[in-house]
Amino acid sequence: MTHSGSDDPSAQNNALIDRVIAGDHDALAELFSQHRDRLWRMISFRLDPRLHGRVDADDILQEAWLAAVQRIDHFLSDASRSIFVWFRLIASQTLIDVHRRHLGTQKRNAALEFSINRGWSSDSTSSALSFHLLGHLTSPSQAALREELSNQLQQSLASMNDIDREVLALRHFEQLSNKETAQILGISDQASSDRYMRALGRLKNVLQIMPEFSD
Amino acid sequence: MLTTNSDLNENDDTGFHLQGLPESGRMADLRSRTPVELLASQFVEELRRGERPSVETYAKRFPLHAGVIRESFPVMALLERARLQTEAQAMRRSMPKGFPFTRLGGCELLCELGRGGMGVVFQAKEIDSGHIVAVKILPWRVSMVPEWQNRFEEEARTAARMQHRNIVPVYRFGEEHGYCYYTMQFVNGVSLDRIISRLRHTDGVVYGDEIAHIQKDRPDGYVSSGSDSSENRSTNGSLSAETNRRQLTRTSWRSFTQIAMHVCEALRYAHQQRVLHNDIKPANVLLDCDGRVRITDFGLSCSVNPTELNNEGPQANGTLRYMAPERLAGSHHESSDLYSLGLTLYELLTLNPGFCAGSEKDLLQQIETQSLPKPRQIRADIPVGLETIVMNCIAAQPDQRYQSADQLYADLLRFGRDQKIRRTTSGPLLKLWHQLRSHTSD
Repeated sequence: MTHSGSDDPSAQNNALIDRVIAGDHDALAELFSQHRDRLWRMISFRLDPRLHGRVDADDILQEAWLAAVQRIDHFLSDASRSIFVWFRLIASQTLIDVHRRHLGTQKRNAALEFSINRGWSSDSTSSALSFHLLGHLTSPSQAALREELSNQLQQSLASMNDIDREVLALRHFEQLSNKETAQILGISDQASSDRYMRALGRLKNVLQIMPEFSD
Repeated sequence: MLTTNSDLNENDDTGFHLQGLPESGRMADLRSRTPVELLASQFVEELRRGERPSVETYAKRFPLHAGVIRESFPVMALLERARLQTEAQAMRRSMPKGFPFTRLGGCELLCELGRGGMGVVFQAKEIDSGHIVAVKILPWRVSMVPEWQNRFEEEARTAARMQHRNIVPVYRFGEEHGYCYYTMQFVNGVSLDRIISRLRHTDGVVYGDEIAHIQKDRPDGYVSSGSDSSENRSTNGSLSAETNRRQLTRTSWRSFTQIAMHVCEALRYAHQQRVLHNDIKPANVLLDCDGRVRITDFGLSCSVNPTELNNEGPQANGTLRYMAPERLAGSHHESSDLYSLGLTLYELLTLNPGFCAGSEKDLLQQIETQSLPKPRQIRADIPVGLETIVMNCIAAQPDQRYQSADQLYADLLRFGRDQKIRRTTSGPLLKLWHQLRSHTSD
């Protein structure tokens, strides 16, 4: 496992957890800092490109921290399975709020949106993924191709199952483990594992249309 | 076991969790996951560690899953690559303004000199010796950018190997406070882009004067190191023989040739060490107070991915502007460095920025279609020989340029001797003839 500190059952962490339950903000800050980098990654990936330059990941992380402090009383009940997932949920909600504040709700289709427990809408993951996947085409001829493919890719990704698409985002762009992915999506470890492989297969079909894809 | 598409429900929870039973996490993990997904996970971890796992090796070792492996693993590699790029972009967007420390690597940081490549450069003072040095810092905590730490260290290691009078020497590198850094010689001088800028705006520049000029807008805390004697000269109105040597005007063709030759010598040396610089541009060519030329910022290793550059706004053009077209497609030769040197020389001669566009897209368009006016079209007084040399460097196809720094150096020498310079893009017979010539004559 590449991640460190997440839900580390060490004695040190247990002591911190006890203090957090007792309402100690400093202890919460320590736990938060253990997960800070990964939360930053999540926010960076999910941040809508239209907000680049207006809002940065650090600002949002700061807001998320404040939101976590507000919820410190819920730590015992909500963070029992995974502290990281709890922080991530809060950060995710903060991110959604920031988007709403700046971009309004035009793009949202309520029917497609995950429940707040899942944290993100399929719509935005689609465009985040395609934005990033196509990012590596930079020569002008490729840049033109990029725009054309972007639409195709978005459609293809949109046609994928919501969960499949989320699994790819969580496993690769947020570098989460199978277990964490399962927890966030509210499915079993087995299901998460299967979903991941299936999603890869489906993305491969989508990617057949990209000219460079012959690694 | 793999299930087909239609088998699984939306939610695979059995609706029941065993709570409170202690369970070895690892075993439970292994038991519940698809075997091939475990392999996939392992493959990705190897990728992230910087090892280079081979899809074929995995396919051969696990023939039962070979089909899925060959199908899916390349997709994972692609996703990881995309991730690296997005992280790079996100990091560049959020370049930190300052650092939470004033001491690093046994040095006291004095003031920021500039930002570029993969880091921020500071003037610093070695605490033990009192020597003034320069320190380059990777401005993000390494825990945030573990892959970048490797690249930064590679850069430092590569640069530290370079020992040449025209290359800024690197002293030490390491990690402290969670940040990577390396220390190098502090060059008391000015970069070529400052000189070009001054030449563009005034009729000429007295070299010593330029040093004094920029002394005025030095950042707070800047320490003047020893040899600033040129500062005194600049206050002297008349042109002594010494000051004469240090004066650069818009028509100092010989001096410009000299500068190019020194950069070329540095490149010859580096290329012999099998190192490409990959970021030659006016900002990376330093002239010190003694007029010595030094190149710096071996900032991008051979395997640089140009898409990691900042994708936003014209300010991103800084490095992209001088980049050889084949580098955009991911390949790089010695002649790519010569291309960049050629464009640098182009700018010095014409005082014109070469490729310049409002957006990255337009810039890339220009670079690919090579729509640059020839130097003498901009300034008729540029010597023909120098124009030819520049055109030989910046030909669109790598095989139509000088193939080595030696060849470029030879032509610069010829120009110095008032000999004729030929275009490299000649027909095959003539090409062969030139090849034979350059073999025997140097």
